[in-house]
Amino acid sequence: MLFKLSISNMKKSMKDYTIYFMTLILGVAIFYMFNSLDAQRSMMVMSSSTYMVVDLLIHLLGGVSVFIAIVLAFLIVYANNFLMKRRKREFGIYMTLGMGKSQISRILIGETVLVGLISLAVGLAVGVFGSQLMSILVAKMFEANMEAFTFVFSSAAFWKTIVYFGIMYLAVMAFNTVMISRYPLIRLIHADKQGEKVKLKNPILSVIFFLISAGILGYAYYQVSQPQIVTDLNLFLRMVFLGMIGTFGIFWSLSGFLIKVVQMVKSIYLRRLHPFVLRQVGSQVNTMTVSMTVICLLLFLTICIFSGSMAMNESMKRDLQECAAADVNVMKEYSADDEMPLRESMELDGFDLSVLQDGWEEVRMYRTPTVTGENVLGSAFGKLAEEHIYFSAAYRAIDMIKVSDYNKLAAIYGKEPCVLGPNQYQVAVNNETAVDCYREAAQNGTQITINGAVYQPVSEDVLDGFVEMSSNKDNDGVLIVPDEALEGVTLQSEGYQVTGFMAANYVGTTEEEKQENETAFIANVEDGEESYLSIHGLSVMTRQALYAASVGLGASIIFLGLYLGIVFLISSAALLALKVLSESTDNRARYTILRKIGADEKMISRALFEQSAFYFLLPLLLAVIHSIFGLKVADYLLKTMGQSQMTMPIIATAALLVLIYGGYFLITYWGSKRIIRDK
Amino acid sequence: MSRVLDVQSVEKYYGNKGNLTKAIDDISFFVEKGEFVGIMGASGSGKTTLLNCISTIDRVTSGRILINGMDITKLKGNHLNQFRSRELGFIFQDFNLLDTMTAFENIALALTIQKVKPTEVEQRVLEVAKNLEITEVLRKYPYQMSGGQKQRVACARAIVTNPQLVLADEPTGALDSKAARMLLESFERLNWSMQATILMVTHDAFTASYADRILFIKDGKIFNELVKGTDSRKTFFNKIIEVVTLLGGELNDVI
Repeated sequence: MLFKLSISNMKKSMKDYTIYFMTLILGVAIFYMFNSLDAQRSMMVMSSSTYMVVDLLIHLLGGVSVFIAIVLAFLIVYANNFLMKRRKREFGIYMTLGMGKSQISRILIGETVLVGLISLAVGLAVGVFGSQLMSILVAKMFEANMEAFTFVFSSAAFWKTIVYFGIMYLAVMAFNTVMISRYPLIRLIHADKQGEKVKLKNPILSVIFFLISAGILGYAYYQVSQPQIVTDLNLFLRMVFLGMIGTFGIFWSLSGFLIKVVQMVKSIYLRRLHPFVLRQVGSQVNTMTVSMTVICLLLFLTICIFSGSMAMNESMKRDLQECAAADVNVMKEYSADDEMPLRESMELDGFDLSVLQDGWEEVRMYRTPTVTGENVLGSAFGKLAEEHIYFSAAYRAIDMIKVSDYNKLAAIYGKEPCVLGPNQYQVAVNNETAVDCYREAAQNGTQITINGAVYQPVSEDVLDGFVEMSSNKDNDGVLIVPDEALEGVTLQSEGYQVTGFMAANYVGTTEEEKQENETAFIANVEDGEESYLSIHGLSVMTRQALYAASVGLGASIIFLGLYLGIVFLISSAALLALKVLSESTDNRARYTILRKIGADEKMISRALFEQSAFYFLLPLLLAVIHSIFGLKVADYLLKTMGQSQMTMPIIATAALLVLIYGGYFLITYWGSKRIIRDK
Repeated sequence: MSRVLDVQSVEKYYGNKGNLTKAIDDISFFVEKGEFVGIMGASGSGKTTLLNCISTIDRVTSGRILINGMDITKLKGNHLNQFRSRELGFIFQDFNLLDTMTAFENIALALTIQKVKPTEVEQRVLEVAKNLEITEVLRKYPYQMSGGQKQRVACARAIVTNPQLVLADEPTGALDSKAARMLLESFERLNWSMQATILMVTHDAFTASYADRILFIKDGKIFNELVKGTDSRKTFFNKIIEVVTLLGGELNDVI
């Protein structure tokens, strides 16, 4: 009997439950999708070449899952609370009819079980199919093998989802039981007449507060636009705190400010239902200050996480193509007791040199304590050390290379060769911050002294290039000098550290051939498999290793970004939707009055649309402004790692926002339209 | 004098074949321009149904209702809404002011819905407020006003659009006697100075005594009609009481 009542209750309040259901289903689906990543074939194929990184990703996801579960749990309890509030009167009526509190609790438990089962079933179904889509996405994004894509069901993720959400539903049940047992009957019956007090703030005070808050935000924006924000964590945290205060202040004072400003423009103010919409927004933004602030900050996080992670992945992919320009690098640091040339060392250690294309030669790099980054940079040294957090060249002897040697490498890498006159030098550098500083030094005509001879910069610009391959643009300076400058220097020279170095390509043209050759190249190297460091101290870097590590890292970042971003987005949108819907219930009487005094349905729909749009746009707008500056910080961070490129990620983020946030907006609008139409 | 409202054999049935309730049973009457007409009747007599039909909130089963010569029973959809906002003004028992808006905005809303020019809105609101002596509460919110002030604001909202017909549904129902008297005096003044045509539904004899003419409704039919004529309000009130006594029922209790 009670169970029947539960079902009919749910059927009756289906429209109220739409948002609740949608949020639950999305939550379950996303939870499953991300936790099932390890079982996806496309990920597995990738993982065979990406070493530990995918493992790392899955471990990270595991940890983040717990955090996400907590966020979702709060959201679900909140959403449930909203529904309960709408039904208090119903429970009051049950009680006047003689039903006990325990019986009502049992009805609620029945409902929660039902809602839980349905949402879990639908959510898991969505999740299973969604993860197929994700597989395709993954394969596309990371250039994994498409043939590997097949239908996979992860039972581990399945059970994990059920257990986590089971716990959340139990929490909801406990919450409802406590709620019912705590409220006296009179408050249940009169629930719909409570909380209709209109809170109003002094408009002048609001305007002053608004300006102060805007000032605080402006100050924080200015501070985070300065480059030192990246290095000064303390300052950064202070600005984040100020940002939060400012956001709260804005929402606290917004309605008063808005009303004051709009009232001054009579042609907007006194037009159709504008005064009504304005007052509605005004009175309700007032009661929603905290939620608006939370929503705005969640949206801000979403935008930053999305675009930041995608920008990082994009720039990594681009840098990788440029910086991993040959198939293999081998390097050997000579010492007093090991002067065996690089080629012989390689043969001895078991490298299969037959798979390499002909034409590679050993080149040498030199370091001496008398030529340091500081010498080369001159007055620009301080700037680089300050702005570039990973900068290291300045503190130690800079790598020097003969121009003829550099050009041999440049030919293999496909880079521009270097031309030097006598007594001239050039710097090969590609880290963006370092480029600026060396360029400044070159423009200053900084002179350096090597072995007693003085050298001038060859031009006012530096050379875009590198010696060692890497996964990103992290070459912070190699000094190219005329061959004569280092003519007399040998392995035995006092004060010199010499490194042997080679770059080469494998024979073969297709990816498969190169893969085979790489396997052959290092197959017989003792101790070479794991660390890529052979017994003779040769360090090896291959293009494939760089790609694998980079792709793995990129994947981790993207997935974490997507996961966190989507959860934050859903949380904020759902929070807002529930708020607006619960307000709509209170607003029904007001819209009825509008109808009575002659507003037609079209006008009313429009007013409702404007009103809902306001609620959704206000936090989004502020979040977007926040993000412009937040992404600037991200941009600084990315620059220290290499070039950054934000256009595509921002478009992608906008698309996702429109899809999810916009979807919630439309559902909310339709939902509130239905609510105010209820007679 | 022209007829602002002409109700011609209106019937309104509820229910189905087996169980038919005649809420209005062939009622005909008219209201002329500048008249202040009261409708009295016990609860269940059909007076609210009649008002709903005239105000186009409800539809008649048969018969015609002409307002300024226009048959409103034939109007549909948006025309109906437009007609309602242009030709009719409403005053309700529970004021129906929007609690989030100031008195000024509440009154202005009636004009902005009709897409009156923003520059004109302010001037017209101030004018009507002066007439109803509520200029000093224009900046206040409903919760800051007394019941009488609220009802006069509602009244201002109803007449600011210069409607052909003002419909008042138990306007004094939620007011104490002093506030009720002030409101009714405002009605009289509007009726005299602005030539507003008012149709007021009430079950209170004192309220009704302010009207020029009263229609008594019982069981969906017009039972009696009283015209004030040259009588003083006191005499008219006593005549009303007589009819009410004759009518019997609940109306007796409320005096």
